[in-house]
Amino acid sequence: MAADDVLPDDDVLAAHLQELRRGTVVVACLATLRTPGYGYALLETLAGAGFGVDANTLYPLLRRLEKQGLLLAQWNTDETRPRKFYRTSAQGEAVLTALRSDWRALDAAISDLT
Amino acid sequence: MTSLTDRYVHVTVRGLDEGQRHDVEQELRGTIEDMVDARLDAGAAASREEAERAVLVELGDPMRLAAGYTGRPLHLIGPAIFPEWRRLVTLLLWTVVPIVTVINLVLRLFIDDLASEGVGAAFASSAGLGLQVALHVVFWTTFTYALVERSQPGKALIAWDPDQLPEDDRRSVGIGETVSSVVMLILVGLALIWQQTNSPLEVDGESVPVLDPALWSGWIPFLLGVVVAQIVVALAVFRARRWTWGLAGIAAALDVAASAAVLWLLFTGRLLNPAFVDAMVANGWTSVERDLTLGLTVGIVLGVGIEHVGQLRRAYASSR
Repeated sequence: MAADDVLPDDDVLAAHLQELRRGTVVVACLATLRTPGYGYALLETLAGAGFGVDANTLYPLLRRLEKQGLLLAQWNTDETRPRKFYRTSAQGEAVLTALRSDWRALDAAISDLT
Repeated sequence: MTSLTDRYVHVTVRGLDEGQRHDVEQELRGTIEDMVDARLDAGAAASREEAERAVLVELGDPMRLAAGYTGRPLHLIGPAIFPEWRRLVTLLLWTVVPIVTVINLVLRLFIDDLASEGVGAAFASSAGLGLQVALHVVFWTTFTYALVERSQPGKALIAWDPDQLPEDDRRSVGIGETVSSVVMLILVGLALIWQQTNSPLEVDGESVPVLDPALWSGWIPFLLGVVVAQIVVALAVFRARRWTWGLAGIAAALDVAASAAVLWLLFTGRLLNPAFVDAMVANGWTSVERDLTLGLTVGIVLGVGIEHVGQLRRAYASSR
């Protein structure tokens, strides 16, 4: 009996998947923004990588990370449309490393459990 | 005419602090334009207006978006503090409202001039006051807790501990039950007094008491004494939090004594005021004595019987 045979309701699975993803968006942002990027491009990159995030969640999140000092922000007025570029700060890098090592530890722990 | 985007951005940023406002506004406008362009490029919308509308729908309620930026809660009373609020409101409603209503009723019945307004107005105004008090209680409690929620979000004011658990429901006596018993007893006492001083029945402009006024020499004070004693018993039961054999026995004895007295007076024809009976007969109710005798007997026996069997059963349950 494969695990796929007994998948529950779509909603149930979707809800749990969303819970799982919720914590990973921050890691994804910090990792992606090691290369400076602006909000909308990041949104598309994350969507493409499978981290579907709503715009109305992502933008406040970026601001919060900026306030916490994990991202640096700068307005780029080169093009016709000024854009706010975010970049992972040194502190952000440190947090990213910590989060990723924690992730690996979790993965190992779960493998041990199952 | 301002565009949808302008209106949306205005609503979103007006709640933000000065420092953030301009920055967020610029970024939000840029985002909306990027999203509109993406939709147009992907062919998902026919016109710019349609794309703009679709993008704003995707971004959602501006209040929600603004709350994401400010971190302010989108609820009045949060889950951490809700149980406290609920318990306090329930407690206040069960205690403050009945007490205020009864006090007002007493004042209205004895101090105001009833002949001009009638007793119905007194009851109606007391009920109205009770409702107003209830609304105020709920409003001010909610308002206070909403302020607390905003000053320390996510934290409770009084930490819960097992002492707050109510006693086992089946056997215990709570404050709500006690208050309603006491209120009922007070109303019975008031009815006894009031039927003498401000009877609803009037003959030639003078009020006619229902019960024989001669009873005031001894029997009615006795009944009033029973009412007071029952109130004391009710308070003692609340103190003990349950019906004990002793208290149930005393309550039963008091009621049996009072009922026996009333029924004896009834059957020897000394309970009802002769003037009252004559007035009722004159108004067409010729069998008033027989009807009232029957009705009162059945009512008293059933009422007293049911109530005290119930109390004795609870005493039995709580003694196990």
